Amino acid sequence: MNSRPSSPPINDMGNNMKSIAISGLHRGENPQPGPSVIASIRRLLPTFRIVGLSYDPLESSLYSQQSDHPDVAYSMPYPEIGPDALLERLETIIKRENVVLIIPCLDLEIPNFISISAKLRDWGVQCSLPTKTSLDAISKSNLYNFCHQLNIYSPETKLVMNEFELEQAAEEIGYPVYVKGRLYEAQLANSKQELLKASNSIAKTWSWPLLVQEALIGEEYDIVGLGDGHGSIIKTCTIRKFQRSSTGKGFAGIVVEDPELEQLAQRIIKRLRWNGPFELEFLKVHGKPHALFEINPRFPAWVDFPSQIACNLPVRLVEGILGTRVLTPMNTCAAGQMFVRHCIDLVGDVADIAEMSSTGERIITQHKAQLEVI
Amino acid sequence: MRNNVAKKHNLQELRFYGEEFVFNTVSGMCYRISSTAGFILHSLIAGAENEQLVDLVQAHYDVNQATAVRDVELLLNNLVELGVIDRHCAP
Repeated sequence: MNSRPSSPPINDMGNNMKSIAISGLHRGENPQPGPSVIASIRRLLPTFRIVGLSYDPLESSLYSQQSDHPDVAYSMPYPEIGPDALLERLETIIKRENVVLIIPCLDLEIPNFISISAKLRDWGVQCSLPTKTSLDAISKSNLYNFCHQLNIYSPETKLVMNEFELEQAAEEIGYPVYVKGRLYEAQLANSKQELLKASNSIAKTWSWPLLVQEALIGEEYDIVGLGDGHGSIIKTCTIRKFQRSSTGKGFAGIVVEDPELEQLAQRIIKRLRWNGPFELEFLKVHGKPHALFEINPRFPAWVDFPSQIACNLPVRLVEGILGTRVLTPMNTCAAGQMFVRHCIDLVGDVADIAEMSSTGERIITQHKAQLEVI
Repeated sequence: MRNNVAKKHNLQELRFYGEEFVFNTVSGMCYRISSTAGFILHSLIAGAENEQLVDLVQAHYDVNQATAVRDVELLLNNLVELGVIDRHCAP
């Protein structure tokens, strides 16, 4: 039954204008994917209104003058608060903005969206998500076992509940090791002293249990793609990150054509029957096979790079979900094509922060974005 | 024959930009190489066997055989170590 919240959309772009809601709107030291997804969609589907789901009035794309900003932004309850608060907030936004599709771009949001996906479907809102089983299989604490089952090399990882287990795990794996939060953050530890310092720091933010992981030093390869939910991959783009920040974020990447990586991706996605966007992260130590060390259940922040070379995965996602008859063709990314991330200063006014902070919403551009692309 | 196939396979991954810059399309690694290394790589791609490289280097650079043998061995080892070519191409 389609019982979409009944109030008509009030956005003044016309009542028939459909909106896509996107989160993860900050491009900073640790860039989130939202602005890249927005730019990709706006490049080929400019008639959609983009609704930003924002967790902080200072998220950078709210101030962007480029094609990567939402047309309107709404503040959202933090994912930790749970699915009910998310659904309640979305109900208002969906009513007002005629949202037909939501693309969550932050790892922490995905479990909540899975919980409310049936209700969203009832309201006529689509959301491309993996199943809970798939998501659980690729969690940081389960990935090592998942890889073991598939006979795919992965850095040895142990879940530890306290300092005693932490030290024991690090001794067994051998230094250096990474200490990781179950959801976010990782720190390298070369000694017991560094191990304890890192664990204290991470546990303070993310609490126990933590993960101890074998540190592999090598080249990083990442694959962005779309799974069809039946075990096949719709399209991928594979890069080597050839400039990494101190926290491992890719600030430059180059396309590679590696049949081994393609085969690995196919095996992983087939086993998971993955639905929607994904990013596979591999490390290659000289003389050893590729080691899968993370799977992200969303587009990565560099997804606008393949979009710019005619492999627009966000657009394919939108077209697939909304049942577009003639799909936009997608090129295969050719080895040697590359991106370099470029940071710029955006101008804003404190009034913008005040508006978002006090009202929980902010119209950014009602017409400008549409005019730019026309 | 098998060795030749392996050799060709690896070398086909290399893409040259001028004489001194090589990109490996599979590993994504970029290398600045010397003109002698470039000459050796081009010779291998053209089908030269490892044993022929010494003669080719000797003729091209007008050096004695001992120098050519040393340079070829050093360069091939260096190229393998860097991952520009795989071990099938090593002497």
